[in-house]
Amino acid sequence: MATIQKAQEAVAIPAEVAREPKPRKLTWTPYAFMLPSAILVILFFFIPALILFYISMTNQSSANFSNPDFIGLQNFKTILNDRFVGKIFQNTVFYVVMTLTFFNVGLALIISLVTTHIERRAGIFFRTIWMLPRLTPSVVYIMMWKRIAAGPPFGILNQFLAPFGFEGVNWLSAQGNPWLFVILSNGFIGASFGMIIFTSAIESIPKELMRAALVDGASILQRIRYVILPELRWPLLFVVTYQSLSLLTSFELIWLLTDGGPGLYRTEVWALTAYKRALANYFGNAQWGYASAWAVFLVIIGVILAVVYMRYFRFNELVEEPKIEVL
Amino acid sequence: MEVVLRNLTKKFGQVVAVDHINLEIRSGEFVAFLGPSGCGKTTTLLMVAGIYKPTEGEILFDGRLMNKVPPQQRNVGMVFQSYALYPHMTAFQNMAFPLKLAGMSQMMQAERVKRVADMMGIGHLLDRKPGELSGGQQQRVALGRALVKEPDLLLFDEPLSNLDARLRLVMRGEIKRLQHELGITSIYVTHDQVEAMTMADRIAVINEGKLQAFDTPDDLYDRPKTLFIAGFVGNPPMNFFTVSIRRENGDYFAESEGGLRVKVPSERAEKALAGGLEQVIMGIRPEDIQMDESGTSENKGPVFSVEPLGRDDLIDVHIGPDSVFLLVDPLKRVRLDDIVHLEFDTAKVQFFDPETGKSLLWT
Amino acid sequence: MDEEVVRAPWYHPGRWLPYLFLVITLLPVFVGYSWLIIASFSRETRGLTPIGGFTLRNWAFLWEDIGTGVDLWALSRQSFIDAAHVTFLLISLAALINLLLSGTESRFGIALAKLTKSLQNVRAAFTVAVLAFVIAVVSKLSVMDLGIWSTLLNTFLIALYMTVTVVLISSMAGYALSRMNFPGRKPFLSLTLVLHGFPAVTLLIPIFYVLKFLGSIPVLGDAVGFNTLGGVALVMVSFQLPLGVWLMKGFFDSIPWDVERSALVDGATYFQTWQQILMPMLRPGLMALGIFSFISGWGAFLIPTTFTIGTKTANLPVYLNSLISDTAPVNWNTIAAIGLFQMVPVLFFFFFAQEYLLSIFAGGSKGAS
Ligand SMILES: Nc1ncnc2c1ncn2[C@@H]1O[C@H](COP(=O)(O)OP(=O)(O)OP(=O)(O)O)[C@@H](O)[C@H]1O
Ligand SMILES: [Mg+2]
Repeated sequence: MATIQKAQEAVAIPAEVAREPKPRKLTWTPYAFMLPSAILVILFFFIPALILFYISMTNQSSANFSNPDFIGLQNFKTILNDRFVGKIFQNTVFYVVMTLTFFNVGLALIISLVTTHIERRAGIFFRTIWMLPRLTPSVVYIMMWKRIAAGPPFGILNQFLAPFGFEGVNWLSAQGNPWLFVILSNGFIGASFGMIIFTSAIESIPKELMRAALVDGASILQRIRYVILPELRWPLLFVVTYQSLSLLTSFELIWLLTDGGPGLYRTEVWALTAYKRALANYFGNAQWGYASAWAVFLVIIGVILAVVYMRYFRFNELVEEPKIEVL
Repeated sequence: MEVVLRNLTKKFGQVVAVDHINLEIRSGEFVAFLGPSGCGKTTTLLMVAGIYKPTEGEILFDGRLMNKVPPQQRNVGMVFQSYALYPHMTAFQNMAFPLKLAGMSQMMQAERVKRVADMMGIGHLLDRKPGELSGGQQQRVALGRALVKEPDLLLFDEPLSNLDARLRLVMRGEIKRLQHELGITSIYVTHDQVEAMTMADRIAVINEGKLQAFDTPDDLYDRPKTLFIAGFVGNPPMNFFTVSIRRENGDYFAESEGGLRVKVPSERAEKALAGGLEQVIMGIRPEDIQMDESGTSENKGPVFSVEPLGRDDLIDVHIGPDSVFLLVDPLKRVRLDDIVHLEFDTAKVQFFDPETGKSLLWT
Repeated sequence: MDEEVVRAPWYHPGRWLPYLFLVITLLPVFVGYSWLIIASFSRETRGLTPIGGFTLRNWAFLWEDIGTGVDLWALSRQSFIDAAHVTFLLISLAALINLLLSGTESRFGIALAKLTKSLQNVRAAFTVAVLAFVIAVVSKLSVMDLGIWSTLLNTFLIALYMTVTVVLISSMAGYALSRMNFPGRKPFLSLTLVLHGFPAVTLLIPIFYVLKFLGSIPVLGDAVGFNTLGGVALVMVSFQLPLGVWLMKGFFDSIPWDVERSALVDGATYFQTWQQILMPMLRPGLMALGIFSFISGWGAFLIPTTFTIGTKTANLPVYLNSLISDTAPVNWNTIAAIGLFQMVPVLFFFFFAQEYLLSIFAGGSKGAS
């Protein structure tokens, strides 16, 4: 231990030399890197959220843009007394549940099971094709659906059904089935999200597990039931929460396809109402205050769900500490 | 450049990775940090380099406090275990990178890189990217990159652990020679004690974040100050026995309860007795124990295990409850359960206080 | 048991049923794209059947719509002359400044001298010249009415702006979040995650106010206010940002620490480490995010249509939609041609950069299990 003592003695340098009077510099480097993102997030997430809550309590509209009145919760009362609010609420639930069940989860699950079952390259090929709708510009995508659903003599679906003696109808009209096409068009985009997640989960199931099941003589259905599905619990939960939120707040495709029609609110959903009342009002009177009240519901649900699944799905990833410290 | 670590401490949350280390490294010295995996060697090195902020304590370069000096301004060169070459740059660009950052002209860069590369024997590889180089070649590029900026301090973090045994031997010699020629103060982290013993001027032995000893290789080997050092340095490790020391006819004997009895040099025995301890721990290195083929020695026992090490066999002989490890010539064909007699050369015997683990011979 | 699973013979339903299923479920997609292609080259379609033979007339929008009196040749000649002037002036100015500053001691002077000096090598000068030319062309085009070409230019600018900004800003933030330890890192990270899940479209109404406000700021307002391309692009960049930051953080996480430590020890600043070491190492990741952003920007409809008025700032999807919903009888074949035209870059990336796109989707939904 003498060496250490020696070292300590040798180290006893005059304090002035050892401690240079350099004040601790504020380390701004990380903040400089964060700055652009932070500005955009503040400008287009935080401030808008605050504005939204504020104007939802005013009667601001294009009629009184510059001097709106503060009216408290009046807008919310109006919504609850709206003649169509029940209908729109039902529509929204119907739309979310149907699309989610049949496409974003149901079809997605089946596709990933099937494409992981068949030959690998073929599986990749089909999954790639499934990505195409998601990448197609929405206007072009909806244009295709409109032509598929169009009435005679242009509609493609009608052309296919004609040999079976089917009369032909404009599927998006009141006589057709507009909901079918709303759900189909959304579902064909939505399915690919779940497909990717389920596929990667299935592919990460240890091969031994599958082989063991095969040796035990399990049939395909039994393997799915007892080996694969239990492994998909978390991915399933994730897809359900994530996608129900995005379905709940999505309206672009419905807007382009049916505009909430035909007739009065046949396929109108909550998010579309909020949007149209404020930003796409063809009758000239944009009711920003009232529309914001509609949107407030969605924002609150959105924040709650986003926080919930951040807690449950990814928080563990945050824990890892960086291994460089800014001096 | 002289490097001083004073009470250097690093905590990661609750984990104390480095615990109040005090060291003084002389200018031009080659110091090895030796210790088992996870003992805090890399953490210490990274604090010296300026990558980690010390939780406590100070780092001084030539008496200048470096704690708040960023890595860019410390003028150290570092060779990483994984080499950490920049994969998108050629060997030349890799080596020229520190020079480029220092604002050196392109001509000077080329000249300097060329010179160092030739010194390292990689002059012909400069156009290749790291992916196109063998492990040993990458190692040289990494070393060249650390050297090219003529640092005041060289840091090596287990630079040879990814190389095969032969190449390791070659590189060991080259690094030592280079360091000697250039006279750059160096810290060399390793958990391979042969590497540390053969290369370093002094070795800092670290365990669980604490400095156990800081001495020359010879001192560590022949004059270990603690039980830990004695057991840690040397391969195969030293044998330890709990003994009491008796004086008979002017000679000293160490006797274990299991019946082991050896004569020990009086000078050492007296020191061991000076503390008045009833029992002490005696340490003898395997190479100081021989098989007594005449069969006269009173220390004998059955062979419990035989482990061929190539040049020697390592055998474990049980004398009562005590296990004695020693090296024997494989030609002697010692077999399990043979009864062998042992002869102890006690000239280098060590004694330790069983309570504190401190040496009774060296302070 | 063998590694290879024993397969049933081909006629066994287990062999072909999956394929049949996949093809049938994909039928609407196949049919949709088939219609797009057939219709864009036909006079008229009934279902998928072309009536009256094939034609290229639908593609006339590419040339017919160009406004009267625009001579592309003259335009580019003039732009070339302008660019030459600008380049010459800039370089002479740089040389002059450099001359005046020689021997200066001040830090600013030295930095300026360095900058101007760098302008005098051939490559830099050439870059300046090309940039000046492009700026000249664009600025001339932007004040003319060029029909679909100005719409196209808008679309392209939005997509490009989106690509560059999203990649740049997210990789900066991703770097800080992944590699640096600083007070506020954890809140920033959780925030990124929450925003990644949060449906930004619900904020369109108040963003209208934000853009109006930005538009009222002098100078800046002309670039990023309401009814400007910049404003639209900025909103879209912000919406993309949580995904981008999260992805980039993941990409940075995958780089070994030692490489970065090594750069710092070699004397690089954090910025230099980011720019010269980490960014080049992440080229595939940057490509992926860039391509993805480009495609989203290229096809964007909702935000452009919400925050622009009229044709001057419209992009292709907005224009296309206005054609569809016009009260006048719709010529579906022209629309199909424009739609197909719009699909060109998407299809290009889809076929030639698939692996990048897939890595985005895989990364964007990481942590699912
Ligand atoms: N960034 C970190 N965060 C938390 N704990 C860490 C970190 N880095 C190291 N540790 C812990 O500190 C201790 C010392 O680690 P260090 O890497 O210094 O060991 P080492 O001596 O270099 O070991 P090896 O020979 O295996 O490289 C270990 O227990 C390790 O788990
Ligand atoms: Mg280590």
